[in-house]
Amino acid sequence: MRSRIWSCIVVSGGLMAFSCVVFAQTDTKTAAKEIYSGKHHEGTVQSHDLSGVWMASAGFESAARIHEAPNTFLQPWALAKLNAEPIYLRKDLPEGHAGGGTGLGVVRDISCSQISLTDFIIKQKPIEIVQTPQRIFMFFEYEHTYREIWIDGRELPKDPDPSYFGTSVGRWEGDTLVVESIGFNDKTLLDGMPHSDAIHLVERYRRPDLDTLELTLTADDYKAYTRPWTAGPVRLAWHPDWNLVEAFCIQDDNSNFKKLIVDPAVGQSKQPGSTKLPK
Amino acid sequence: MRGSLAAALCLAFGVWLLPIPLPAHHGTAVYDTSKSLEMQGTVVAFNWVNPHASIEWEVKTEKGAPKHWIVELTSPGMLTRSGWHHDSLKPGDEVTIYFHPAKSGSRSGIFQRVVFADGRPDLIDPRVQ
Repeated sequence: MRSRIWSCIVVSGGLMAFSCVVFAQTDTKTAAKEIYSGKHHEGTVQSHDLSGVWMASAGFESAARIHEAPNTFLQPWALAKLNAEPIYLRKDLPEGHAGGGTGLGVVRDISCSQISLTDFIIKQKPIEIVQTPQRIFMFFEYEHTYREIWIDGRELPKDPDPSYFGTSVGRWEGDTLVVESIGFNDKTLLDGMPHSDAIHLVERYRRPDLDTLELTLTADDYKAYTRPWTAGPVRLAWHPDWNLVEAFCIQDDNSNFKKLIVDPAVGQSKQPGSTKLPK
Repeated sequence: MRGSLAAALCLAFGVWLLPIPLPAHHGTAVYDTSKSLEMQGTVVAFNWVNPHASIEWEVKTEKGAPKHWIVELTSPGMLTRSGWHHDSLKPGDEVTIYFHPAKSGSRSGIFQRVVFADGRPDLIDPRVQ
């Protein structure tokens, strides 16, 4: 009888010890996952923490549309440049891209050359925000690239070299991250608008609740605009369980997609054949 | 029994939470989303590439050669986050594919669901339901 009691005690103790080890491992893994994903917020919004994976919510097309009519702020040369854009790329028109229109069947619609910082943030492609004391990084799934925002108190450079994403510094104003960018080249459209290399873009990010990031945009450009334009708020949803994957824009893949899917779908080519995409 | 019910409720809740993102590269205006077709056939290729994955399959006809069909899916990234893999479909798989057809009348469309003849769980596109 005594030996049975001792056996029970030993077995129970062993099970308890094993359980502790298992639970400890589980807790560690869970905690690490929660911290990585931002779940350590535990339902509350931590101030000045935008880290995590985000993606624009449905309806972003209309939310991102610039509030002012283009002819009320574009200088003549910029308005002419906008009007030269194909209708399907126009975000200021309901029948254009941001209005739910389609550029299917048109070569430029699936071109890899349409690089735009605002599109990388606003379009429905995931982005991941990673914060350090000096910088905030935005990693973009599309093109597998990133932009950096300096938050160490430095000022914008006086004469930055022109680039597609420009040069950005940020600061906190209450619960809002204000990001100012200059140094863009004049090859992109920012929220669908032509601009010069003098454009000054301001992004304002606010996290009204755990799951939502709100972005408003303002831009001024003394060479291209007569007054600033504004857009937003665009809402991005938090996806704590997502990871970014590789999604390069490869022109050969886009061309094959157009040949296999787009052209037949719009009736611009014969029935799809058995052409295989290159592996 | 209670466990099965809980699992079913969790599954239903999880499906309800699935995001339904819109396409990033182009609209779906060329597809007739009011119609859903189903075509039984044999997978020829599963193209795991950006900007959109696609499935090619051959459908037997009563007379003549099998007809080649193709449907587009969302991006590999969005599929990955919905449980797909690059080898979720293999050439030779017997399948029934549900899709919205192209308005042009071509043998193409936008994918909704695949049902496997061998009993594997169905796969859906998180983009188009």
